[in-house]
Amino acid sequence: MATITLTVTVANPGSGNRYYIDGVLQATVSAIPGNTYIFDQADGTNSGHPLRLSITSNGTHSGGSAYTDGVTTSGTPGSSGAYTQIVVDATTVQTLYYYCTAHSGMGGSFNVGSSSTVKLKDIKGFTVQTLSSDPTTPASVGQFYFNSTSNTFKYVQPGGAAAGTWASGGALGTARYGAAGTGSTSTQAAGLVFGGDTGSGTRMVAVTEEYNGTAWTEKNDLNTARGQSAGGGTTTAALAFSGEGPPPGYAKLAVTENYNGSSWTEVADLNTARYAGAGFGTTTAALMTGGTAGPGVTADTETWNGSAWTEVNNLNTARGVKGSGTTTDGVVVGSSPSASTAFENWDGTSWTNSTAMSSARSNAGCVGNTTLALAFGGTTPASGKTEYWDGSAWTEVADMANSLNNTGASGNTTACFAAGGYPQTTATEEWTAPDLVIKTVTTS
Amino acid sequence: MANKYCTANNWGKDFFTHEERTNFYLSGQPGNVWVVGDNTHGDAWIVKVSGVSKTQAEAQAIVDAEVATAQAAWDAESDEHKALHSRPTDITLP
Repeated sequence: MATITLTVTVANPGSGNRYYIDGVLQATVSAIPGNTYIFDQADGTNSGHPLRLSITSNGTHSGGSAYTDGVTTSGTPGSSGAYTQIVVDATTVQTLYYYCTAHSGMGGSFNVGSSSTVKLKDIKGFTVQTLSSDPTTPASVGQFYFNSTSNTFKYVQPGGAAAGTWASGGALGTARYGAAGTGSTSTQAAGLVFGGDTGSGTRMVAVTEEYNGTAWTEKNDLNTARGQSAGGGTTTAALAFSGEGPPPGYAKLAVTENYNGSSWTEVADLNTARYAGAGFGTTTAALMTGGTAGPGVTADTETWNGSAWTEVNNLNTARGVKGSGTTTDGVVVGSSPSASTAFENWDGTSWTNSTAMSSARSNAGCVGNTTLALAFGGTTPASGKTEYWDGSAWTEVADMANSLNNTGASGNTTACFAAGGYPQTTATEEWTAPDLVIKTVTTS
Repeated sequence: MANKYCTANNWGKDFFTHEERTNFYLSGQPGNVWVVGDNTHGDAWIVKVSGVSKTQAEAQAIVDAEVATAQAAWDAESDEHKALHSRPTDITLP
C-alpha cells in the first residue's frame, strides 16, 4: 500500500480562486483502498485556503460537513509541513469532495475505487464498501458495493444511449398523428403538441396540449387547424408553421402562429406553403425545410427571425422530412413519400449529406442536432426502431414499444417524448438514457 | 424467444416503465394487442395491466382486422394524401 502526495496550489483561472492538484485545475482524484493520500498545502498560494473533505460537493458551502474518518490535518496552509491526509480503506465513503473551508467553489472530486487501475488484488483483505443508497454519478461506473437499505450486492454499469429505454408516457387527450412537437431540449417533462390529423371527419385539428412529464393538459387552440405541421420553441414561447388544411382540399398552409404560453397569435406567413416538412428553433430563430408544396415535394428552406421568413439554401434532395435543432445546427432524417436512410446536416448556411441511418424511414421522430441525435419510429413498415447519432456514426438502441409513425417529438438524446402517431393514437412514449445503470447481483 | 399475447388498454404513464422494458420483450400492436416476453417479469406485467390473455392465433386475428381497417382507410385517401404514409402493411406477430 502506498502513500501518494498530491501537491495543492491555488490560482485564479478567471472565475475566482481554485485548487489545482498536481497542476490540474480542480482535478478529480481517483483513490484506491489501502493507500494514503496527502493533500500537500505547503505552497504559499494555499494561505487562507484550508482544504477538507466532505461527502457533499462544495462541503460546508452547500450544507455539508467535513468528512473526518481517516482524515488528519497538520500545519497552516501556505506554510511548510501543512497538509490534509486521508487513509483510504474499505470503509471510506466512495464519493468524496475536497473543498476550501473559507471559500466556495474551489474544490473537486475524490473518488474511492474509481481508478481504472483498481484490481481485485488491490482490495484483497478489505470488505466491500457499504452504501445506504445507490451512487448517482458516472464516476461510480465499475463499482461493486453492498446496499445496506435493500441488503443486496450491486454494481454500476455505464449508462448513455446504449442503456436508454422507452416507457409509456401520459396519454394525449386527442388521438392524432402529424402533430407538431416542441418544448424543452433538456427534458421530456415540458412539451407541447399542436395540430394533427384525427383520421376522420374534418380530420385536421387545432388542439394544443401541454405535457408535464406525467399528463397532457389541453390549452388554447391554434387559430388554424392543421395536420403535418412544424413548430419550435417552448411551452411558454412557441411557433407553429406550415401544415395541411382539412379535406377535401387538403390545402398547403403558410400560416405561422406565435404562442405566448396561453394563446396563439397569427404572424407573418411562410414564403412557400407546405406540409410534412421539418421545422425547429424558437420564436425568434426558426427554420422550415422540405415538405409537400404541391404538386410534389420541395427542397425549399426558410429561416424565421422573429418577424419574417427569408429564403436560404435548399436541402440537397427535395422530400418530406422530419428534423430537429436550431438555425445554426440542425438535422433532418429520412424522407417521404419514399422512406430513406438520408441524413442531412444544417450548419447555419447550407445542407450537407451526412452518414446514412441504418434503417430507411419516413415520418420518423427526431430530436437533437449534428452532434447528438436520435431517430425513432416512422415507416416502412411501421417500426419502433431507434437509432442514436454520436456525431460520427449511427447505433441501434432500444426500440419503442409502440411503432409510432409521424409522431410529435421533443427533447434531446437523453430525455425526449414522442406523442401520437399514424393511425391516430393517444399513445406517448418517453425516452430516457440514464447516466449509469445500477444492477443487483442475483444468486441461484 | 417464446412470447405471450394479451389485449390491454394503454392508460398512459407507467403502463409500461423503463425497468419493465429492460426485463422483458414488449411490443404494442394494433387493436391493443401486446406481445409480451415469456418470463416472470412479463407475466407480472400482464397482471399489472389487467391484460386479457390471447392465443397467438386470437391475437393475430385482432391485429389482422385492425390492419384491414387501416388499409381500407388508406385506400380511400386521395393520391396526394396517400403519399404521406405508405399503405399499412400486414403484420405477423412474433
